[in-house]
Amino acid sequence: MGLSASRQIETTAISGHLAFPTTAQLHHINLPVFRQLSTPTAVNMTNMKLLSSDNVEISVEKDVAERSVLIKNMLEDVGETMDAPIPIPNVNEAVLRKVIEWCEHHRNDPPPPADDDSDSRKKSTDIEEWDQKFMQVDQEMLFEIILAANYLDIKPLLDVGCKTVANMIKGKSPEEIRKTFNIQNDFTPEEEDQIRRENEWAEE
Amino acid sequence: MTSIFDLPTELLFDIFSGDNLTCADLGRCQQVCKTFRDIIQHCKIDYTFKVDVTAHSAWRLIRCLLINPQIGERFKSIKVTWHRRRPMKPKTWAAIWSWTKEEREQIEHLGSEWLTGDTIRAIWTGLNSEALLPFLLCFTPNLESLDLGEAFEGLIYPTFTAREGIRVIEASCGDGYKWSPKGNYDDGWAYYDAISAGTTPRREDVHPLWFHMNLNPKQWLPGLANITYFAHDYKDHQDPNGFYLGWPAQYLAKILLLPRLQTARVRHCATIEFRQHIPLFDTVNSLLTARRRSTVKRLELVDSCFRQEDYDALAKLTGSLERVEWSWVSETSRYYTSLASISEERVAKAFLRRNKRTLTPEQVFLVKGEPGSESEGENKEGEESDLGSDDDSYYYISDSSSDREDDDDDDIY
Repeated sequence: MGLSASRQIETTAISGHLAFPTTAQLHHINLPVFRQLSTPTAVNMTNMKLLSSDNVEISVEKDVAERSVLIKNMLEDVGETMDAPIPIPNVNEAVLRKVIEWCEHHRNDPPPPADDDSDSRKKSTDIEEWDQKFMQVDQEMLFEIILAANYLDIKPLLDVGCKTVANMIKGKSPEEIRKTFNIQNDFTPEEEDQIRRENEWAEE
Repeated sequence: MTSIFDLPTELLFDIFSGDNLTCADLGRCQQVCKTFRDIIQHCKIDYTFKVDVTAHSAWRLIRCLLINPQIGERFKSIKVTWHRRRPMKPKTWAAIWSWTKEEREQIEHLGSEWLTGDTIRAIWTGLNSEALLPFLLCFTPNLESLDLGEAFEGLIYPTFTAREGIRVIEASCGDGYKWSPKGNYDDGWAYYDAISAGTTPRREDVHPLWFHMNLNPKQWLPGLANITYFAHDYKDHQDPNGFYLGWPAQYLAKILLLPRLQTARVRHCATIEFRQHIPLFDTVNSLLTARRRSTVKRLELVDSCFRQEDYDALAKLTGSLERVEWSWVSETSRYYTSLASISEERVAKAFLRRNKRTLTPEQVFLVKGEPGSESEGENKEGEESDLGSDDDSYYYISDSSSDREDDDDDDIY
């Protein structure tokens, strides 16, 4: 899939973005009040396109795509050239759609807490129910999503992914962990025994 | 096929560092493969130090550290939880632990540089695992956070009779019950003192922890040199006799001088011990000659038993405060003849005067309302739920001593 000419898929059909002043124009006018008033309505409804690594164009609403800090910064840098699709060279179509699905569900999430609260973010070990369901995918997809979230800089999605992996490790014996992730044991029995004794203190 | 090894090292590091995984999980992960092991060797450890828990986790940690001291460098935070032996709950009677001859020598060799001789002997004795805490702090130079929890200095909790004490200690030591009263007036306390000697620090005026005894502002334990967060509560603060109103404030004065300290959360601290007031000014003055001011920025001084002059003394130690929260315990006021002289304005003024550049009146809070005893009560319930039932038949013997069949040689009555 995706080797042939690029396809274009419209997820939402909104054609009115030309009626609104573009962000660049607004910047030009440089009236803070005007900008504040217009951003929530004008920009949110705008569509843009992403190009996956396998050359599939995916249409996505701008505020959904901007859950990705990478895309957000990119848009801010280039200003208003939204007609050309943004290439996402590291992420294939299937994964990109999955990531967009997550972004759409979380489009209205409050912004992540400031730095001094980063502890509290890390501290919450629970994964909310929708995210748990979302992460019920095969391992390959799980790691692809994590890599995509890392590349696209979508911190909350990355967190969910990492926690999901951690939960797959939790409470398991070394052998069970190896089985879960298909890992070869590259220790000699002596080394393994040595490491086991080194960590005996941690076992309850 | 994308596998776990396609994740960059820093993501694996994040996964292992997340709060979902315990020290035990990380220990098992290290045995999985070399990649995992290499990454986890750089993960920080958040450790829960369980005092006198029957599984002796602290003792097992120290044994590992004696062989692999480098593990200690990964410790980032230590939270202490307290599981002292309870007379009515035989399941809590942690047995004595022992060391090999080599281990004893190692402990003496490593410990003598930092710890008092009494502390090392208490570690050897093997009944009070709180003594292992200062020793652990010799291994953890990168520690940032230390939470002492609801500390309790005695081996047995709560108040107990001499007979209960003797029974618990002798059961913990694995000996049979050997005590019999010497004459009509022997209540057993002398015998109890003899068999528990050296397990807890003895001082005339206060009841400290081994941790307190090893606070030395001239030479901090390695694990205290980089502490930025410190918390210390006290368990038995509601003693109706007024003997145990809080942990001794003279050690708070020392703690405030920890070189990197930013936040100190103090609860149930007291300048009154055994109904005697021990003025803080003496301690503070002796410390100030030796060291500069405290670096602490946020100070919580909640539900503590201080006199006005003690607040003045504490304030004298500070100079960088940006926030002060404080309150006192009202029900203990009867032991404080001069409590009336504590006024919100005077306490605030004391701190404001010493922290002119950093502190404004809006940043000094008097914490009003309950000292939180209700919620603590609930916690205690939960905590006790798995300690076994109270019906250790031993305790019901006094009604019908003749028809008891079990427990023959342990019988004390």
